[in-house]
Amino acid sequence: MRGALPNWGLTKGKGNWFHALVSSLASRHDQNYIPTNFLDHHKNRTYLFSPITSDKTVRMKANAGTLTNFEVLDLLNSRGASNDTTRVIAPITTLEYKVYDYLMETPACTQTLEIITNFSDQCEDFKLAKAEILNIINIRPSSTVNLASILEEPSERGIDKKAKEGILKLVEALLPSPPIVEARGENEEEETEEGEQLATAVLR
Amino acid sequence: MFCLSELEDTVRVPPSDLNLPLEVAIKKALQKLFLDKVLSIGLCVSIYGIKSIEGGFVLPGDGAATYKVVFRIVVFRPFVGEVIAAKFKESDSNGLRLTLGFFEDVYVPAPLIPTPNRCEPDPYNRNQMRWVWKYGDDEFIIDDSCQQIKFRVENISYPPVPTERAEDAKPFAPMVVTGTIDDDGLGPVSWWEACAPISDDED
Repeated sequence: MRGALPNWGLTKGKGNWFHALVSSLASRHDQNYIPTNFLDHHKNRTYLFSPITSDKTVRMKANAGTLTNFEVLDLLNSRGASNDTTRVIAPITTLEYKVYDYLMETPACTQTLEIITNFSDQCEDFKLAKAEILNIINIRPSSTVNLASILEEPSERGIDKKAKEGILKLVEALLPSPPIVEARGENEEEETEEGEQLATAVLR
Repeated sequence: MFCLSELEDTVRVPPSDLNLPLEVAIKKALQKLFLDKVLSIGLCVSIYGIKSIEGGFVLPGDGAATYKVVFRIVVFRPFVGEVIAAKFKESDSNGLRLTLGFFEDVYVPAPLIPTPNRCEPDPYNRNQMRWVWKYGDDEFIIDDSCQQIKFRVENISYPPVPTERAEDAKPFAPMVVTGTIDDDGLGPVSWWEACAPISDDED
């Protein structure tokens, strides 16, 4: 165990290695991780900047794969987000519940893994970019105009009206229709903004 | 909208958690450290899974065990060009602000609202301004009644932490998504519900 101590930037040779170790540990806890905690009064969220350029940093691979909305929803469901109406028992944080609430109103809540893999396989014919397929799966455009905002430079890539209709037919056939978003009205959870708006928090 | 990121970090498990199974304790420490925080890669939403754990050394003078953990997290980081459905939050003379529930700093600045438009003081809420789009003879209002507003991501910025702020300044937003609603199919969903394509070569 002894021989495998991590290198804490010790001064080689000179000086007390123990001292250097403890002081670097203390400084890490004081400076690098908790310098600025801004409490956002809207959401009680603390913001933290991890200093990527310092020594004791998080090494990372920024993009290990893009996830569709469905996959994130599936992940939350697998942890029990859907079963728990009290929202206390399942091991899911408040932020994750907010994400869950958001995703349940998107087309992702009616999709399954087979549906989206099937859809992306069949999209091969139309030569769409990966980002566009992702957009289509997440948004589920139901008309040409909705598709227009997703496709980039369709005329230059040879995607004519017929191809757009083909894509829409595929969407209609393979992707289930999105849920109906009810009128939010008084059910919206809002902060009291100078007493102007009603704040009724509804726990769903 | 979401992607996975693989990170490696040194995690300190406090002594009070040492009776828990290792994975649970490390996950708890990771959640406390990363969840709901904005890193350079985006807003961390959830811990996807732990890939490897090494170490477990107890350093002198400290009762906690320190592990080197490689794990994956789900990060909210929309890409430029992504179309996202959001809800209206507030608007002022600079533009609109939309919210995604879990992320509230989506701004649509005035130049990216379809023209011609005008901004008028909101008759229902004296602090806010209301944006109205004039198309042909119709006027379309952008306000709270819009159920869903679709926007396309133009830019994501991570403003640096300010050192000084005025007392009544808006809470600091470490991640700001700028969106546009100035295109076919964008903006409140109700605008496009009952419309047919005008011409074939619109592009």
